[in-house]
Amino acid sequence: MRIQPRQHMLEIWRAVARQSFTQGVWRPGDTEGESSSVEDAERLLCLMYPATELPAFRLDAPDETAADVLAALQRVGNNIDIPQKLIGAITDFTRTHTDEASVPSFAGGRYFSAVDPTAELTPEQRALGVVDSYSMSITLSLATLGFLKVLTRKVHRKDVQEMAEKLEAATRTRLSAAMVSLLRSFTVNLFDADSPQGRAVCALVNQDGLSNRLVVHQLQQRLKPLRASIREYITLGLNVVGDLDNDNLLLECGWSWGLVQDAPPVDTTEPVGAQPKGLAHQVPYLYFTVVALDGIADLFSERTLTLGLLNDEQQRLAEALRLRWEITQQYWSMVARFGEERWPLEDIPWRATARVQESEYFSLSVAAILVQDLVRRRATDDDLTRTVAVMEELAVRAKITRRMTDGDPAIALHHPGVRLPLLGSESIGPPMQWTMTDFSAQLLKRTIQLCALSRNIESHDRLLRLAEQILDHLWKRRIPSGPGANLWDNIRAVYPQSSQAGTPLSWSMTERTVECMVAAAGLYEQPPIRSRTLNDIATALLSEASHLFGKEMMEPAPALEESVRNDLGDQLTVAEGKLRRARQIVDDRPGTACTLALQVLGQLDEIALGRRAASRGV
Amino acid sequence: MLVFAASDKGGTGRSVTSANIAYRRALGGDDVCYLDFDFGSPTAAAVFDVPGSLRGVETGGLHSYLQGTTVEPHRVDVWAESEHDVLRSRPTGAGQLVLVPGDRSGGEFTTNPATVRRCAELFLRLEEEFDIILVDLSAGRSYAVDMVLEATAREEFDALRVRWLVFHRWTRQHIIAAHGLVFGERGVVAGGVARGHEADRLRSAIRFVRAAVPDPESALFAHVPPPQAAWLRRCDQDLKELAAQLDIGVTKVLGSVPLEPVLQWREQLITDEDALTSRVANVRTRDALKRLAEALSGEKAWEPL
Repeated sequence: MRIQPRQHMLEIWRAVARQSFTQGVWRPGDTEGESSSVEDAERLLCLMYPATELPAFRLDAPDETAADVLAALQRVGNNIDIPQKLIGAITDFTRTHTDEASVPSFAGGRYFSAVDPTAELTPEQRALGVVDSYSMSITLSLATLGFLKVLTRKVHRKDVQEMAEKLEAATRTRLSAAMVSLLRSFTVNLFDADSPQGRAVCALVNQDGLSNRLVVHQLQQRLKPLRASIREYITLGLNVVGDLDNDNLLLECGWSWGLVQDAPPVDTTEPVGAQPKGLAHQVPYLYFTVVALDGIADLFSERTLTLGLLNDEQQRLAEALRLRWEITQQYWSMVARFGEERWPLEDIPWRATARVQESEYFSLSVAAILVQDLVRRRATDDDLTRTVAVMEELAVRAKITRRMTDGDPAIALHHPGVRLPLLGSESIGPPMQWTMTDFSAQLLKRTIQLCALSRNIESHDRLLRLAEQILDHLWKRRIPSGPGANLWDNIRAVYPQSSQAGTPLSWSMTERTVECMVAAAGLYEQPPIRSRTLNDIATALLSEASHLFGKEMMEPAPALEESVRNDLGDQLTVAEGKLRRARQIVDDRPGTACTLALQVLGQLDEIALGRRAASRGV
Repeated sequence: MLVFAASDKGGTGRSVTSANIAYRRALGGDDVCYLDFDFGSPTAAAVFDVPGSLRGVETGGLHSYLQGTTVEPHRVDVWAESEHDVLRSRPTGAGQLVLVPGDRSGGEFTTNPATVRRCAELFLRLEEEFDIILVDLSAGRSYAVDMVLEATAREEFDALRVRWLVFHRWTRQHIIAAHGLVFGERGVVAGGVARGHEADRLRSAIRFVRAAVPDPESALFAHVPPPQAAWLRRCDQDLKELAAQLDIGVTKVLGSVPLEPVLQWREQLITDEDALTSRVANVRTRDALKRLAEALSGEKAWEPL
């Protein structure tokens, strides 16, 4: 299936509009009873994320909304209704997820489940915040702030203006609260090289079969600069247990699943309210780390800067987050590429070291961090090409590009999904877990990001083909009819043996697919990759064509008078234009230049043949 | 309701479109009066096909009234005097449709306090008698525009619904010109403010009408070669962006009338017969005119955001 972000996106929007609006009114989530701030944010982001990221899909300028976009959203209303409905829906969301003391809440809600299926989670547990929600709130808040900023320039109606102002204030608070929570969920875990965890890390990075002592030494060397940055700069909301100065200790950094135990409150002038005590163990989770990194990146995107969406205090918080973002990427990128021969990342599946658990999902998470780090470092194509093979392998192992066999264990990756025990949650009830079912969509997103990054024709092409295959697979997984039609996730369509009951609508899969489409739009923004070979050929062809054209022009000119003029003159004018155009684009689009030169050569030869036939006569 | 039809340039379809609006409103049951203030080149009579006043009336038209030589301007009952097949008899349920033409030898003239007073009195008098008074102003920033701005600045008009329609064609120059006519240094808004209008109120009473808009998706362009189609779409998009930048984007637009061959060749009313029976005109054009006439009094179009 060819990747056509605009068409795919419109199709998704049409389905989202049908699902989320009944006769033009935003429908609150139709989950029985328990909601989740993550799910509600995902639902809104399905509309808000493309609307902010893709100029073609913007909804904040009613004067400029594209006609096909309006047609897709016609269930919501016309170009003037849509922004107002969106303001209403986001206001609704903010109100629902703010507690009685006007403190924003980031409850995981029904997305949490008990490890023991017979146990019942307590309401306090369900109300716990989760990194997914913090991160998504950052993205959604920034999208909302930008949306309001552009929209209100054109709003004259008092009631709309008031609604927008109220929403802006609430969103700003929510953004600050999310940033503070993310700061307090960041953790640095120190451990001895001889501890079980230390040995697990060494085994993971030791792909070259070195002695344990040497690996520990190398690791310590590589960790030195990171350790120094953490000691010097990272203070806000972080409490490191253990001695950071002890060079013999190994470390791990990243995000835990929620607020970390003993994380000190962050001093801030923003009205974020009381900062609850943390519960989560000081253990970074790969999954939550990737989620946090994705959200934080939006804080210093070009859009955030140009629209000036952050106030001074928020900029201070963003700066603190950015530091953690950089260090975490450096750390995981270092671990993923450790050693000289084979990368630990290439040893699939990745083993999470703190808890003994291995999964393709973790390999994907590490690859995701690596991809972001490649972008950040403007890495060479060499590093990138190795990652391509990892992506392909993951697709094979997850049975996305291979057939599923009877009783295949790979089904578990998609359904019921990978489960993460949330360490620390057991202190106020039965142990909780978090389930990830979005492997395919995540894989597609990272493949597309990598593809956009690649400037090497071969790897670009491999990635594009892989992305198309994954999209095929994802597109099949849309719910065929009934509630949530054309949204996700109908696993049985691709894995008939799956034990999934019915076709429950999954907003997280839907939202991830939307993210994929946004990333895919970026694919076509860049010029096509230039081929040296084509460029050489085009130059040679152009040289021959120009020469022959010059020679043809030495022939007596065809008559200019209208009555006797024939097509010969026109033909030459067209040929000249084509040559000029070919010269212009030979560097950027050598393939097109070739075609133009070939057309001219063909035309010139017809004329030459005619002349030759004539000269052979008597 | 008092509606002024203005445009910066000629050939924008102002007269023909506003005559069509008047016709549609009358069909819908409103009592409509159409004042031909296009003193340079009166055309309304031709559109309504009332032969006696084709180039304006001999004497006693709007010019004579405003200059004080006649007490009451001449009125033409379109339903009674039109030669047009369809217009000749008043359809059931239709309201009055009255044309007040200019003088044949009229042309532009300067205004003084007395003409402004007469103008204001005329509007107030007609307002009592009709539901909709459509005033077709001549193109550009003419004396007529100044005169009506000054007349409507009087406090008697505070309680009246006064609206402005600015017509422009769908080209770069026309968009810029329409923006200039309304928002420019010597524009309608600035001119109104200088005569005592409240800027915000006046601004919110102005809407734009796009005329002769080539719609790249319409049947008219279904068979153009691909490069032409690509060109058309891009131009259309550029114009939309330009209009949005100049604050005359779709939120400020009351309606748009598609490019219509019948209107290109002849300034006439598009009747239902033209669109449905003889089918010389496109149904889309008829629908656009209908929607435009409805939007004139629909509150939604006038206070969108």
